[in-house]
Order: sequence, then C-alpha cells, then structure tokens
Amino acid sequence: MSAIAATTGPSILTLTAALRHRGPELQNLKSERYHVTTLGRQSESQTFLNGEAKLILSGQISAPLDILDRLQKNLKEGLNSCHGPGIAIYQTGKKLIIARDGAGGRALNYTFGGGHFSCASETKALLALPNQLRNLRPGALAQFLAYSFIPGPKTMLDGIFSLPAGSYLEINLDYPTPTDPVSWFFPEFIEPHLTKEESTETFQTIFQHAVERLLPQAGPSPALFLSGGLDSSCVAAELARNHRDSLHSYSLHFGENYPHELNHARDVVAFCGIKNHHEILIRPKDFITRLHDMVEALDEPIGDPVALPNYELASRVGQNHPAVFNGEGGDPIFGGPKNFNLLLHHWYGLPQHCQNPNHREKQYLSSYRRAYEEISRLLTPEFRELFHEEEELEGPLTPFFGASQPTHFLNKVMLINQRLKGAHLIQPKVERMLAAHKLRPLSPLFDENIIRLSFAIPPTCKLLGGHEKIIMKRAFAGRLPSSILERPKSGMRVPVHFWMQKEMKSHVREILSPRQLKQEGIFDYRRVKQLLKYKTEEGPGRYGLRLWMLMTFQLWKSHFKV
Amino acid sequence: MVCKSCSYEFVFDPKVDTITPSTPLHDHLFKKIINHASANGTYHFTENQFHSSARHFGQASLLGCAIVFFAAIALFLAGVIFQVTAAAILGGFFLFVISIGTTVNFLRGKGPKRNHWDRLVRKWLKYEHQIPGLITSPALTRPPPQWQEKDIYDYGVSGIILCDRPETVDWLVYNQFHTQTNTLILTAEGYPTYLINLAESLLADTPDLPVWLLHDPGTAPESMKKKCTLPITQFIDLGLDSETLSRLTILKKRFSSRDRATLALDAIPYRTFSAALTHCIATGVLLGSILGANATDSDTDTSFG
Repeated sequence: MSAIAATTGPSILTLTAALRHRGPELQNLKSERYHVTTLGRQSESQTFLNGEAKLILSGQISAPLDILDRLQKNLKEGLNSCHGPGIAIYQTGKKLIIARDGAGGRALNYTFGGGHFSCASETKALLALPNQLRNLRPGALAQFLAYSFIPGPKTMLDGIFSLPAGSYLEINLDYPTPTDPVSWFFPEFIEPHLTKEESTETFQTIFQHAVERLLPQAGPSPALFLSGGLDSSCVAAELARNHRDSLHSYSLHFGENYPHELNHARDVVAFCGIKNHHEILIRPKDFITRLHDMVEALDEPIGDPVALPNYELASRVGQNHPAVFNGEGGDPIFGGPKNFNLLLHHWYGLPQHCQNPNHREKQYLSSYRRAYEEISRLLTPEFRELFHEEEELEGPLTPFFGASQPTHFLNKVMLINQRLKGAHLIQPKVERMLAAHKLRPLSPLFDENIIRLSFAIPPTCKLLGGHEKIIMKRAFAGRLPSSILERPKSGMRVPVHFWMQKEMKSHVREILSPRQLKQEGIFDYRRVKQLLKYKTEEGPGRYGLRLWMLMTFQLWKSHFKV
Repeated sequence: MVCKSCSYEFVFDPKVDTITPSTPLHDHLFKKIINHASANGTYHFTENQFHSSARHFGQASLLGCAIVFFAAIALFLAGVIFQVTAAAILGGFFLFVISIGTTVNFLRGKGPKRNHWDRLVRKWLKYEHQIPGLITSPALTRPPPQWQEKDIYDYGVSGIILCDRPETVDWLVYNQFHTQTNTLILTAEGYPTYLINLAESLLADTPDLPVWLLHDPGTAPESMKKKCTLPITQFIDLGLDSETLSRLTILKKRFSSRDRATLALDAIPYRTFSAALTHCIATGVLLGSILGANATDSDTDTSFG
C-alpha cells in the first residue's frame, strides 16, 4: 500500500501524481538537490532528522530510535538493525542512500535518465517523467519467458532498473551518475551452527514474533489467505492461538469442474477452531473484463498465473480488512520441490550435464518449467539476434552458483530463490495485487530473521528423503492436522490450461492475433498458432501457462505503450 | 548420390533403401523419423523407440485404404450400371483386391523389421551422420566429477527404481526422470556401478524407502530380486504385462499382434510412459492399470499449467 518517490531532478510532482492510487502524500524530505515523498497510510511512513542526517522510511519498517547514529557509524550495520519490508532513503552530507529491505518485501525501480536520479515504487511513475524512453529490452523478454519475471537489476525497459533485495544505491548528490547496487544483507555468510532441536525451537520463537509484530497492522479482525497448503496453514495455526474468534480465513476455488484444495483448508479451519471461514469462487466470466486492470496494477510483466487469484481474492478481502496475512515465503526459505531436481541432476555425471560449464544454470531454468525450451521456437530469428541468450538467461544465476558462500549447494539454490524469485516475483506480485485493493500483505515467513535462521540451521532441516520444509513440519506437529503435514507440495493450480481452451479462448486469440504478431515481428506467429491449437510437434505441453505469459506480456506492452 | 546444387551427399538411395516395400527411404524421411522419435528434439530415445517411430512411418494410411476401396466399388458399380466393357469391371476388381491388401497391410502394421531397420541406422551412422538424441547403451559408465559442495548427496530420495535393463535406466536418466521424481534409478544388477554405494547408504538411512521394480513384460520380477545385491526387504512390482502393452492403441497401429507380444516397455513414447510412471509411483497404482485404462493422457503433469 505504501509508496515512495525520489528524484534529484525537478519532477517529483510527476512521480507522485503517477502513484496517487496508493494513497495521499504523507511526508516530504527535500533540499536543493533532491526531493523525496512518501504516500499511502500514515503508519507506513516515518522520518528521522538529526542535524545534517535525514532518514525517511516507507513501508512496515521498525527501526531503533538511534537509527541515525547507527547509520552514521556503520551504514551496513545500521541497515541490518532495521526490520520489516520497506524502502529507506538516507541523506548524509552529499550522499543519498537508497536501500531496499533484506527480504525484498517492497520493490523500487530507478533511472538515471536526463542527468538526474529518479526512483519510485512503480515503473509507471518513472514512465511519466518527461523524455523517458519506453524501449523494450530484447534480452528481458527472453528472461520473462524463461523465468516468468525479470530477475533484475535490469528490467523490461532500457534504462530502468530494479533495486535488488538487501541492497542500496549510493548517489552522489553533486553528480548523480549511474552506480551499481551494493549488498548489505548477508544471510549467505551464516554457517549452519544450530542442532536440529535448537533449530525447531528457534523457528517457533522467531515465527511467533514475526506474526505478533505484524498483528497490529491487521486491524481488529485479522484476515488470512488460506490455501490449504503447509505455509498458510502454519500462519493460520499461529494466528488461531490467540485470535481464533476474530480471525477471518479466505480460500478460493475455480468451480466444481476443477480440482481445488478446499477440503485441506476446511481441515485446518476445523482443527484450529477458526470461526470465520470464507470460500470464494473465481471464474473467467467474472474477471475477464478486469484483466487489463490487473496487468496495469502489476506494473511490470509478470507471467505467473497466480497473480490473478491474488488480485481477485484481494478485491473481496479488501472490502473488510486493511491487511491480510499469507503464507508466502515458505518455498524459497525452507523448501521447494525443485531443489531435489537440482541436487539429483549432479548424481549421474551425464556428459551433457557435466561438461557444460553452465549446466547448473541450465538445469535451474529447465526445472522452472516455464518457457525456457520454447524461446528458440517462439521468438523470431531476427528478434533473437538482438540479445545474447546465455548472458541474459544464465547470467543472473552464475554469481550465485559460482560463489564460495554459502558453502552448501542447497543454500545456494535457496539464496537464488529468495533473491530472485522471492524479491522480483512473489513479493512485488503480491504487494501490487493487494495494493490495487488498498490491502497490505503481511508475510511472516518473509521475515528477515527467518531468512537468517534458514542459513543457520542444518540444511537437512529443510529437505530430506523426498520431504521439504522439515523444520516447519516439526514445529507444527500437533498444531496442524497430520494430513496437512504429510501431504506433498501441490502449489496453487490455476486452471489456465482449460481456460485457454474454453472460457478464455476467444479472448486470448484476439490478443495474440496473427496480424498483430506479424506486424510486431517479436513472436513467430506460426508457433503461437500451434500453441493456440494445443498442437505442437513436441506433443502435449504447458500450453495454458505459455499462452497466459504471452497474453499478459502483450497486454502490458499495449497498456504501457512500449 | 550428391545434390548438384548444395553438394549434400545423400546416405540413402530410395531405389535401393526402403522401410517397407512400398515406402522408399530417403534422407529427409530418416530425419523426420529422428524428429518423431525425439518429439522434435525434446527427448532422448532408445533404439527400441527409434524402431517404433520407423514403424509409424511405415504404416499405410487408413484414409488411403478407404479411398482406394471406395474408388474400386464406384468403378465396379459404374461398369455394371453403364454396361461398359468387361475391362473396366476387371479394373475395378483389381483395385478392390489392392485395397483389401492395403487394408490388411495397415491392420498388420507393416513397417521395417528390427534387423532391417538396424541395418539402415548403421548405414546412416557409417556416413558419420549423427542421430541427435539416440542413446547408445550402456551410456552411464563414468561417475560425475567431485563437486565443490559436499552436500550434493545428503538429502535422500523419494524412492529407488530398479530396472531390468541398462537401456531403461539410460532412457529415464537421459530424459531426467530421476530429477523430476526425486528417485535413484539403477538396474537390479547394479548399473551404473558408481551409484551402488550411494544406494546402500540411502537404504541404510531409510530402510523402508520404497523400491519399485520396472521391467519389460518378458522379465520375471523374481529373477530381478534374485540378481539384486542391495539390502532390500520389500519390492513393489510396477506390473506391466505383455497383454497391457499389446492393448495400447499407439502400439497397435505400429506392430502386429505377434510383434506386440514381445515388445519392450520402451516401445511406448516417452511422454506417455513417463506420465504413467509418475502417476504410478505417486499413487501406488500398477503401471499396467494406468496404461491399460488410458488414465494418462500424457498431459497429466501439466494440466494446470
């Protein structure tokens, strides 16, 4: 819900006007050389002043009272003393420091266009700047197809960047020239040192604190997205401990013809004694006219179909609650079934696996099961010549796999999941889908202390013998039904595969019309035609997901006039 | 033969090389068969699968049979109705006979016999042409390098699949079935050898780890158990018999009933097989039951994406 904009140029009003949907202007910090404005709810904006040093915080950040002293003594330690999702802008002398929280709970995009530095919570504010170019970055489209999001710091648009989680930018106010982000949040340097028993107890304590810390923002009757999976069920159990009467849980389904997890959610509701449970039906005929609004609210192209249920659920929950708890974070912090895929990839020593120096990167992208293998077929040869495929696709992963820290392979993969998927897909997506309906996300599993803990516990507390999130299952044994603790990971199964053949068929065909595609020269319309018909030479595939990705990209491109 | 315009040297001479007496083989068709076997470069395939794909291209077209059949009937009736010469009636009769022959040919699934196909493959390879995706078993002879990280083998698996042939192990591993299902795949006799110690330690850590037996219809599971040296107390036979294999529509089109009785499981296209096997190890239902009931539309794992 909160937002922030800053510039060393004259266009602060332009930036804030484009963010007005996030709420009224709250606080300003300005000098001759820069201007910062926060927007949103009063409780999500704080200012600290001490002589020349100034700090403005946007988001759900809790900072110690002596934060300015700490920042002045040691910038990185000062930032590490803050807690919670948000953006901090700190001025000392001729330096302006712009920092993003360690977990990546709030996004920030920036540009150095026109000789000035400008940043904002959403790209659309930067696009409103005079003379801001809207050139598509070809390599970013390949990234979008492989990852379903852009892993940063470059974005889909030339000259606009996204600040990585746990990083800051240092801007020289005299000469605001482009500079690289610097990391300040280092969970990867924590070596596993806790025993299994200590790990479980510490998790219980930290998780309880994380939920309690967020509770005051939830209003008198906390709300929760309860999918029926392990992560949101753990949040439900923790909330139900003291709030079972006032807690409202919300689950969704896509109609009786499609599989759902309502029974699992009901089990949790019954087991935890939650008194107010709501089940919401999501159907294409109800949301299809709002797809453009959803893509506008997403702000950048995100091809994950789960954005849709986030958006639709938020529209209902936002009518009664100021904020909503969710279970986001469990996968990138404590589990994720794809980790086994990457581990077992090393076992057999296949020549094509071991002899390619980038074999881990390739396997990671392949395990994502988006459209990595589709890129050479889907993009026209002319468009593919505009970028270096290996650099764009594997490049963002190589620094993680090549680093000496963390020492465990599993933790390397988890770090990638947190820094890329967590900070550039999951959290921006959820935050923006909720903000569109005046809701704040409360994600206790994405707490910085939980992230730090995940690197301090034995890695086998996360994954073992085909099971994931072992520590969470141990911590909630007896507090959740065994069916929830023992069931395999499912994920939210949005039935796009069926929708694209039925209810959304004509809609997607219209958006992906051959005439339009031929004119643009980006996608090979013959391949798109095969996907639309659900008939390729490779046999059945994830057609629905691929069409959803193409559709959201085309809608985004058209809406933002790229 | 050499192409005059681009100097491409052809491997096959359609006048001499055929996949059936009525289907000449040329380089383009051979490449189409490779493409079919690999699902347009998506999968690795075994020699059995390559042969199965060749049989697909050797089939007479059912539509063709129907056209010839009805043309013969029409010609014959026209001859009778318009009282044209006996020659026309005779011509119609011959067409009718040909159509019957072609239909029988179709129903019997005429394609190249295995030995004949193997000769054609060798001819292709002799000209130093590659067959991308074709697995030459046994392929898993060298262990992986020492990895920089020490925890690669620390997290266990969901189960172990024991196969009766190295070809089946190679087929599944090259197509990454092990990474997708979190399983260790070996033969009962211990191929690949460099993973035996790992299998032993996994079983020592988790004595009740599921161990599935995956075998051709012609292999007795008991013989696999006898050959297995791993400390396993309970095996789960995935249970694929020749009757089930014989009933699969896709194989009926390619092989005669006699041939189907001796087919190996890798005659089934990978996508269909892997979807069935995934379902099977997740639910405990027999592989034969899943394939036989056509419960896998080969899109099982992707229905929601």
